[in-house]
Amino acid sequence: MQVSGSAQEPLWYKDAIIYELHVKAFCDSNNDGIGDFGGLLQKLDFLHQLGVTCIWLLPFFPSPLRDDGYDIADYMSVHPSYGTMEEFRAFLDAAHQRGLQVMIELVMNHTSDEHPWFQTARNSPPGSPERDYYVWSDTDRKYDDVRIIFTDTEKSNWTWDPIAKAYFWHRFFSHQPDLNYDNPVVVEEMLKVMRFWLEMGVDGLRLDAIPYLIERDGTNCENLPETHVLIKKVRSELDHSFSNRLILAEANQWPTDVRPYFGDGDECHMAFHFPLMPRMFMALRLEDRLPITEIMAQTPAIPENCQWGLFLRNHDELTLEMVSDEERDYMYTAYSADPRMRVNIGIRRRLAPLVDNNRRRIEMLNSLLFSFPGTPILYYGDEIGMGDNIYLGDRNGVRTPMQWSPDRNAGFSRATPARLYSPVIIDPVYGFEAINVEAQEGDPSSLLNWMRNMIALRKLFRVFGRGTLEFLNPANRKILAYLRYYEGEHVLCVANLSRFAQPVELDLAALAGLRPIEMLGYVDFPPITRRPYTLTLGPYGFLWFELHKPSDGRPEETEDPSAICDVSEGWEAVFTGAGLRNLESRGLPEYLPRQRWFGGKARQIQSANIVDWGEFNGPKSALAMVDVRYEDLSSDTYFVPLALSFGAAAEEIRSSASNSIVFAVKSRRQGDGVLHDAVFDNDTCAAFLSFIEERRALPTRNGSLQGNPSSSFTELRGATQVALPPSRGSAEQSNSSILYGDRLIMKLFRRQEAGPNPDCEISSFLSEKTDFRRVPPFAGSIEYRREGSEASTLGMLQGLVRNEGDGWKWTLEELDRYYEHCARIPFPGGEEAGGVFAPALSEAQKNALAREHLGIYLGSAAVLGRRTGEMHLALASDASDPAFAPEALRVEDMHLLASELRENSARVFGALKDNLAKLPDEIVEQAGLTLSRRRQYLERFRLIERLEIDGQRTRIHGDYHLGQILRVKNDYIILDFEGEPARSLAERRTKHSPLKDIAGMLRSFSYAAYAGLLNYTARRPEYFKTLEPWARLWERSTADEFLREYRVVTAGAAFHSQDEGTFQTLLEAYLLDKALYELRYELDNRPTWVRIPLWGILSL
Amino acid sequence: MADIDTIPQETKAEIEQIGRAELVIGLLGCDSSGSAEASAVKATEKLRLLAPDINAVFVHWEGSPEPGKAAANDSGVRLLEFPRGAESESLLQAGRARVRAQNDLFGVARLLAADACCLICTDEQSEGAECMARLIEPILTLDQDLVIARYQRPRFDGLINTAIIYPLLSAVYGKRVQWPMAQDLGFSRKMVERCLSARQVRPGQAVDLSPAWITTAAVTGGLQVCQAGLRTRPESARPGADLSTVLAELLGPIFLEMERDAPFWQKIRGSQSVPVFGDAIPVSEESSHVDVRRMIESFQLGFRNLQEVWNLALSPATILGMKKLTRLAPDQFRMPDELWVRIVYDFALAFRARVMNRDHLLRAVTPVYLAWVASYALEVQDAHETEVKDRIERLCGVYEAEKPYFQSRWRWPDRFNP
Repeated sequence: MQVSGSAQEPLWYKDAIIYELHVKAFCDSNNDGIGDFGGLLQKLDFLHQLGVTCIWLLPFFPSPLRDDGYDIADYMSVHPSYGTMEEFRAFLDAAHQRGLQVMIELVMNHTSDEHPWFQTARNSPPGSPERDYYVWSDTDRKYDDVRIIFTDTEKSNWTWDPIAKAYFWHRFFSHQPDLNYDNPVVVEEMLKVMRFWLEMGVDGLRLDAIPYLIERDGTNCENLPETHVLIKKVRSELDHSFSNRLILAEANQWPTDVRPYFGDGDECHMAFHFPLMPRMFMALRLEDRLPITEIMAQTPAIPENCQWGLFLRNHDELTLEMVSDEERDYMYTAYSADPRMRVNIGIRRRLAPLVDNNRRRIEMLNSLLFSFPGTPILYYGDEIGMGDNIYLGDRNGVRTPMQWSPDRNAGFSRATPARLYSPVIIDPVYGFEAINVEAQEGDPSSLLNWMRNMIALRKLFRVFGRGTLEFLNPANRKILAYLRYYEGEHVLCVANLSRFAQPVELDLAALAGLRPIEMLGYVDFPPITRRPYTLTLGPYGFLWFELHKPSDGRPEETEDPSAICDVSEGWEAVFTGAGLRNLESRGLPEYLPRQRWFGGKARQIQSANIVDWGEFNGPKSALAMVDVRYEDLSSDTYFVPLALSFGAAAEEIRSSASNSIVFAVKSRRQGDGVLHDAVFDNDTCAAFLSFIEERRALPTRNGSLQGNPSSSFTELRGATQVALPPSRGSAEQSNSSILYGDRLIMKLFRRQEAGPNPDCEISSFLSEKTDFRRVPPFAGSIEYRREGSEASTLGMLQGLVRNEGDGWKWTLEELDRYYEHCARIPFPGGEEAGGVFAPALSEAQKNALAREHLGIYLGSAAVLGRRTGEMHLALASDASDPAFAPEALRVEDMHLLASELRENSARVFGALKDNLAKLPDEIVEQAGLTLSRRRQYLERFRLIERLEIDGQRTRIHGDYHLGQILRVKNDYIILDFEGEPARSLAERRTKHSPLKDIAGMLRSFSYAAYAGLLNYTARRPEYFKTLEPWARLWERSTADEFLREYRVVTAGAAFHSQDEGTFQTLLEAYLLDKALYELRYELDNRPTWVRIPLWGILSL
Repeated sequence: MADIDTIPQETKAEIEQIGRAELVIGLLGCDSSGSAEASAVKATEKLRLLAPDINAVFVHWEGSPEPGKAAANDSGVRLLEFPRGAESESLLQAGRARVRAQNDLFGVARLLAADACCLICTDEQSEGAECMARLIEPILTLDQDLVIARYQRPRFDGLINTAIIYPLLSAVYGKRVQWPMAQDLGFSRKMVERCLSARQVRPGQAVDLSPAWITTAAVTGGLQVCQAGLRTRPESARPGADLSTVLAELLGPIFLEMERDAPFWQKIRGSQSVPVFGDAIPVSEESSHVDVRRMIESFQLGFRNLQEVWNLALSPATILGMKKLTRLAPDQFRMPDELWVRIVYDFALAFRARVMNRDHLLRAVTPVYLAWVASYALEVQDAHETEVKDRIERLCGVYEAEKPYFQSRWRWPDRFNP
């Protein structure tokens, strides 16, 4: 039996507005100079009227208060200065009565050294259970690589304890010993604390400093796998006994490092997005959107039941840990001219003083906070524009008493001013006589009233808390424009980061026909057309628009929310009559763009029609083929498996996979339910497996389905008495993956074209007809044949391969180590010795350097070369199968290839020229150089027309790069033979020279080298020049090693020219083509990464 | 508020004995066991014409201190008795008593797993049976979730509904329900669950009961709503009550409900008609001339005395429009719909913004409402029945046309406006 929290909905935190406050700073009811729960209770109506929905209380537990309460001496009580447990309960009840949730701190990482656990531990003998509550060592050299966080005060993470006669571990202050979570008793103690507060009714817990919970030698003791095991346990305990609660991770890390704290939706519900915050301030000061768009581009997708926590300011300094050294220097210069404004690695200032008390800047920043994907968190006092006091120590300058009125002590307390826990702000600009709640409540134009309005407005639209985000890319970089979308709600947000008025032309062609309504004033704007949409924004202005479907001038007929499809009689109700009309006119057009696998997001859907369907797995699910037509007259066909769920199952779908819902349904027998993606229905997933296993056939309305197990199915499936519970893969892209226990994986191909899917075709061929075993074993497929058409592949089943991650991720990890190692080693012969684009070292010197510094990666590149050669030999091994038989390369083939390459490259060079002005300054020079060599590159393609060609065309991988291989026990498994998803099936099945794959992998090495360099130097830009020749060395050496081993394995193979000149010319042409393709992609998506393909092109 | 835990244990035991019933019928209009039993007998006869084997339980509220006495009496009908609340002092209390009765009904319906239930307010037996049939039939045969009585009334009856509640809720919620506060209602099982959950609030949390909450709960919940033509409408809870009090007690909860439902209706554009089942039952109407002089004088007096309050709530252009009205001779007295609608919207906005004590604010509506009544009376007193209907629908159209004004000021409640 779960005990419910005060919120009525499990995902309440997605729509919440959180207000962070310290009890001591808010209101003092007993006039002792310290805020307390009695005072907070008196001010609940203020918070309710402000519109916030959740109160986050900073630590209020008994504590020596040497770290503002984060040094806890008793987890299950209230600090006497703040009140009693009864007063806390009264506050909690009163908050709940007003519909406010309450979140408190769970400081898991450490206690105060005054906590009885520590006092007992230091007095207990080594090895005793009591001693084991903390992390002890006889030496202070253990975990030597671990950084120190409070650099201003701490010199080591170890402190000698004279009583225990040992060092104890602490990641923060030396009076805050870290708890030892390798001790199960400590875990249980902390769970007891969690249960204690949740049973009382607390709605959320902020998990303080969770990356540091576990220590392991040889690591940086942050974000360790064991930490995630622990958090999963905390979550599982929470879910077991409580519902509608929240745990929020405080992990001051890069977004990719924070992502694991969400797990598969089974760790933290929320996590702060730390790197976004300083970048909002940077973008504002630079008047350039790039800092924001770049960090959001690096922000990975998170599980559907999870949420980012966004903030402008909080109780700590404006942390600059998650910015590069150069960016930090800029931020210090821009926002903390006085050194007293700095503390640790950050700036200890409140919002208003940071932006020179400029109301427009405050409003614009808040508009971003309220409209970005995540839950906004406000810091007390910022709603009235309170100032700070930089003359107070530590971060106390931003923790001064709340300013309620111009009365004594700002209305915070009636105590003698000298008794206050902190002086109130008294300067003429921010002092309480000028800035206070009372004055602003009486002023309709005050910041407080503006904040109230904005909060109320945001609460009207769930899209802000739950919707997707898509940045627009207008030429004027002072404008930040983005689209948000959620369940039929389309919102466009545009912000001017500049202090002057700015024009902007937005490319909204994909939304042509929609009518923007400005949200704050409900003002109709001109409808969107295919032409650029022009807006002008005042200084720091922002506009939010709801995008509505067009109206012809008459009052719009409201969408009828009561038109719920009745499925009492089964699937016919969905696929015929009113149900079908509803599905095709509203259901699918709104559902499809929400799916990650839907490739038509950039185009406006004109129609979505069901062209075939059939019941599957009894009445529970149905498989549908949907023909999607776009406004630009293109079309696609998608495979959409659907299921009906009712009652608790429907609730589960609503709370954990709401994006998968097409629309609500009802049934006389089963009540209310939902029509949703069948991938989220375990019964249907199991039915896919048995459909293959039992080699079943199924007629549909206009076609048929056939399950085909491979000859290895039985072996791969394993003992039939062992159940293989289905689960869903989290790395869903253009396909959907279903995992069956730890043995099988099913890939459902969403975009359908007649003809065999190359992934399935090649996997099956390699597994069943060759000896090549470095691919996931093929276990079967589901084929679909529409009447009068060739069969297509709906799904492919493969054996699940245990692995250590994909090759791209592993390579970047290796590169991080490599750059860390090389950062302080001058490149032999100086930085220029590597030459800008042609290393000047001799081959022997280069090889010696590579062997010395590249470590195991060099060997692994050779292994990959060997496996690639073996793959190509296997793909060319069957001359009897027309789909795989190698074919001689002819002169016409070369002419055709040259012509295609020339056309593509002309387009890319054109795009580069058009975008030249938009590129970052440091890239413009390279881009100009590349354009100046345009003719030479085009000429290079012409060379291949003159080749006396003697190789062969074979089936190839088609989209070969490091992301398509898995690292498995010092070796590799090659996967994903689908080809480039954007190309047609026929193109993807066409035979090519295997050198196309080789070019793909060589470019991937180049990408990895420079992506790793950019990542590394983002934090340490001063090393860029030192490391650049090392990057080139790495790229060249790995490429050489890969190619050398590949050529050994494929020596004499008929598919390669035996003439070295021909081999090299063709390879370079493919390399150039690939680099140009990458250039186009980066121009469209990541302008700062354009330098990587440019490097590649210029080095050819 | 709605919670089956409020049903006494002994009543639950009685219900357990009954087991299951397809229909639960609440007889709110009957004030004695005798009349309730007679009504139940009549209704049962009517029911058997619809479905011969249908199993129904009747719920009746009377003054007995013993709750939940269930009896299968001589006539064979099952009658479950609940105590009636204390005599109502105000509409609000009457409303609470009614919601308590609705709550009892929903609780019984859930415990008996009823397919449908209905609440009938008349004590006239044969009319009650007819009413019940009309409220139940769309649920059982047409899959509707909420059937709301649509009363046929003389043109000068139910004017608060005509002037404010019907057109306001139609424009705001997007469903044209003519009597959103109707007390004769039919509910599907789904609607019962919606009602039980829509009003679930934590102990101690303040609840303000809109007399139209069932209608708005159905609309915001996306349920199937229809209307059933009925002959009569029960008299208001307190005939002769002070108009200011009536207005305040009706409008306050409705405005509060709108505040809670804002995320729903802010996205609604336009409105849809709601089907009516059953023929409209005409009422005979004697022609009558209304003396509007005192109403106009009340308005003029209000304009002189309430300027301070109105200035806080109404926009300058609206005040100016009212000023022009004060200068009109009684026979020329006409309030433009646009002006009236903006006044209503402005009061709703001022209520939300808490510009002053809410009760005082709502009482300040009275003189201007009287001005609207005077204007309306002058306009329709000689009009044909269909012209009256058209007149009301025209007013609805203006509410709808002015909704963007309401939406914009709701979203950005700046007092500095035209």
